[in-house]
Amino acid sequence: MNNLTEPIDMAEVMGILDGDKELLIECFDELLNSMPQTLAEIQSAIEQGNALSLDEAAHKLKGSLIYMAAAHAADVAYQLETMGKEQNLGSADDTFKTLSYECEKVKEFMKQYKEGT
Amino acid sequence: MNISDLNGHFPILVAEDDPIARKILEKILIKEGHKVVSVENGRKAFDLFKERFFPIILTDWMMPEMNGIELCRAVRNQQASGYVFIIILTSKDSKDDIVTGLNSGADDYVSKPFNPPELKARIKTCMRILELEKSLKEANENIRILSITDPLTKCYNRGYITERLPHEIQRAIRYKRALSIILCDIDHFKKINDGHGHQVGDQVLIEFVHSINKVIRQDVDWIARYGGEEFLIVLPETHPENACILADRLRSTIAAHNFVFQEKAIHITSSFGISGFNSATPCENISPEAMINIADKCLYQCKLEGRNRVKAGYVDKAQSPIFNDKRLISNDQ
Repeated sequence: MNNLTEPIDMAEVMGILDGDKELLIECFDELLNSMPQTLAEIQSAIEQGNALSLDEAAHKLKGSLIYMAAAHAADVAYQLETMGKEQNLGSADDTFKTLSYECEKVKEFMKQYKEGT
Repeated sequence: MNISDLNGHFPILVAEDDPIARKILEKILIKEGHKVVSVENGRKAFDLFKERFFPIILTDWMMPEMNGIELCRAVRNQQASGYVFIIILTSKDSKDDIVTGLNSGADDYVSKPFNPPELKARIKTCMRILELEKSLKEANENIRILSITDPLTKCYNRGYITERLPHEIQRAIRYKRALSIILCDIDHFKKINDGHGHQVGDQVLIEFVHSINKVIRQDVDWIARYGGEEFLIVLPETHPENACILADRLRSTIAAHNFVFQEKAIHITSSFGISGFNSATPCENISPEAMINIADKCLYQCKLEGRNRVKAGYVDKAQSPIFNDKRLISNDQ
């Protein structure tokens, strides 16, 4: 399956994981567990206007999303990381809403995949 | 040997703060047969590296506490027991970033998210280099051993005396310990060569060293070929009086031994000149030359007095030999 409309590109992620389905489930579990906390860290950094924390938290989430081939969500996380780096949090609130939406889609996709296996 | 057969021989230290990336790296590398230890930042990786050597480090670039670049620099500044091949994982792929990574001590880089076949291939390349380094080290060690070994008798050679004896003397003086040396040779060795041929002479030398090696303390005392049929025995932690006892035992062992070559028994004797100092001797500037000189004069005295004997001299503060007839231990011809 290589559907660009899907939040996770399964062909790409299976390539990254060397075709290991067991590892895929472990990684999905890891991301399902860590994502809410990382999103909370990003939100808190934006609320407090803390650019450095935003940079670090967004970078962390971006890394995990890239490994799970969640390109759209990773792009949005990257935008927030850049805002943190450039200390320009002007549109961070809106971007965070987009990130939350994209991450929700990723989360649902992972849950459905797990239920289907 | 296929390079993949070596996968378990080079443990890999992974430093990656992203738990998912860390998990993937661990799994892929372990599946390939590698031994992997992973930590979540550069600081932990460096602390672990200081305790335990890892020939391969795979590190993320951006990490809390200590990033990949800082880890590279720290590892390169550390005295390690072998070469460490560092691969940096980075989403930064501009040329400037790559140059920064390589300049900080990384050997290679892999872009994130990595492609497993590429990662495996890079690790194989790194193992080829480490294997080459290992074989070079082994070759160097073999050359070093050859450079300090007498090819005939397999004991140490004159070069080793020059290299090692000054250290033995320095150590003995620093820790106020005794040290003795024995210069010995085979009496009338030329007659053996002339009468039985040089091949037999060579066998006598080999067996002479073998007989001495059986008596001296293994891994403490050592023997080196000083030249021709002359050998130097170095006895750390040994007072000259005890060196005399040992030399006399060697002398009587050699004199009683039947050297049999081509069904012919050859009887030899040997002479021993000793020099040394004990732990109470106030000696700060004793040189190897001074010690050997005294032992040589004692050996010469043995020859003058009829051979097959032991004579000793002390090294005094002024580095001049003291011949003391009371030190004459043996003369039992």
